[in-house]
Amino acid sequence: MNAHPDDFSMSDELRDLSRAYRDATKYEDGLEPSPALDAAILAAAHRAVTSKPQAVLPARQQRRFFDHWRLPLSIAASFMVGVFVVMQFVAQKTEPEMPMLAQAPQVPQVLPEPEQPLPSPAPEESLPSQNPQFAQADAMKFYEVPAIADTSARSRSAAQSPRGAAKVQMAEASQPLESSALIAETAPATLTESADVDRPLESNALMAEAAPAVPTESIAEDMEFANAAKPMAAMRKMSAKRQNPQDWLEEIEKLHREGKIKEVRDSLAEFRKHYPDYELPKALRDLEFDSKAQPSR
Amino acid sequence: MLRYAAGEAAAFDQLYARHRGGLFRFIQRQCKERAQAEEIFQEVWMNLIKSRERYTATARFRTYLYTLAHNRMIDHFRRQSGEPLRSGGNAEEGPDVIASLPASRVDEPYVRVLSRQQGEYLLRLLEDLPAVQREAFLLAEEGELSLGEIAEATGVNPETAKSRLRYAVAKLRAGLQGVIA
Repeated sequence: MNAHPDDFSMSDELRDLSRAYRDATKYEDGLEPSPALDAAILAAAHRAVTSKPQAVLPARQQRRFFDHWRLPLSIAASFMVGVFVVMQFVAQKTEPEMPMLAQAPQVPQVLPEPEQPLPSPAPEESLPSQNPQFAQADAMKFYEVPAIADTSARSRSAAQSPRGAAKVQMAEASQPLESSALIAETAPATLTESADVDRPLESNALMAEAAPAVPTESIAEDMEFANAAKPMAAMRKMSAKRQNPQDWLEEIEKLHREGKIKEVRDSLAEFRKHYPDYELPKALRDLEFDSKAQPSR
Repeated sequence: MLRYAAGEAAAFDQLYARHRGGLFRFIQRQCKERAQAEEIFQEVWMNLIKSRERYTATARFRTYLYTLAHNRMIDHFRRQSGEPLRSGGNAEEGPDVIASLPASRVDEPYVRVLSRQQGEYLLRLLEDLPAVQREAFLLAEEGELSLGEIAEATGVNPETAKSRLRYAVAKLRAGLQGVIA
């Protein structure tokens, strides 16, 4: 045993007892760890150094860790799969709208100016909104950006509209403008305008060739609509005056002073239909008499 | 131990070979069954392996090793039957116990060489010692710890450790005296 300087004074007694204890230990067997235990401890010590410290953990603890986190991980994974499926479903629901836009009827690019401007303050915007065909074209302008469709969609739209086919030809003819022409196939309304700015003569000529019957018919319909709208506005103005016979007569007298005899007689006849017993001024009475005497004039 | 903590596996082999016998006897003499002793012995070494990165050389390695063993033994006894390893000193012993023991007879021949029968009797006396006194004696004999190291390993002050060891030695000597005489 150790003999430290601070050890107590009975070190001699301990010394002989220590010798006696060691003698007694000699007679004992099996006071050493078994070789299997030695091997297991040494193997664990070597494993701990050569591998990660986690390898020392018993397999039971590793299983416990997995059991503890299995349920939360499964829930999280299921949630992620669900979110992914919903996102895919939503994406597929929105995608079919694009080919429908590509198949929409084409809009005439160059509209003839109406002879007289319409009473609306912004005829470029109000006129298409009154016509359903133009309203559809307006709606298309808002969807023109994502118009880069696949090849099948482009060929479909080209086959369904003669103008689209013309654009394809134009794109093939002019190589530098290939990309803009391809975009113009699916978004014809505005992007072709930008192409026209770059090459106005060539593209306008091609467009004139490629835009046949359909736009012309629609222009004629629009002109009829515009011409019909003008007398309707005048009629509305007149009906307000007819509610008051005095105002109406003043209007007729004004025509008379301007020398518009035919209009005066027509107006008087109309006046009489509404007010048969109303007394006319003398000058108008004479004209009325003359118109009755000469109805065919 | 520092070399082993640095990753040198062969250093552990040397440590183990040096301390395996003494540590196992230290444990075996406090446990009745060999299976329990082997289990505790393995757990002590496993704790040492796991805590190798936290090891700092503030004391001798054997002090550290027997501190681990002491703590593990306390856990074992608490699990089995309350608190057999009381650390409250030696209140059960009167101050006159040592004084009543016979004086040292180192020079007598029967003390120098014990027969097998007498050796077995000494070990039986050791078993009958109070746990804290037996532990102090075993730490001194098997662990080769000084009084200060015994106090450190068992978590008591040096005077308490000294008192425990003195009582253990006195009782063993008194027992042997009776047998041989």
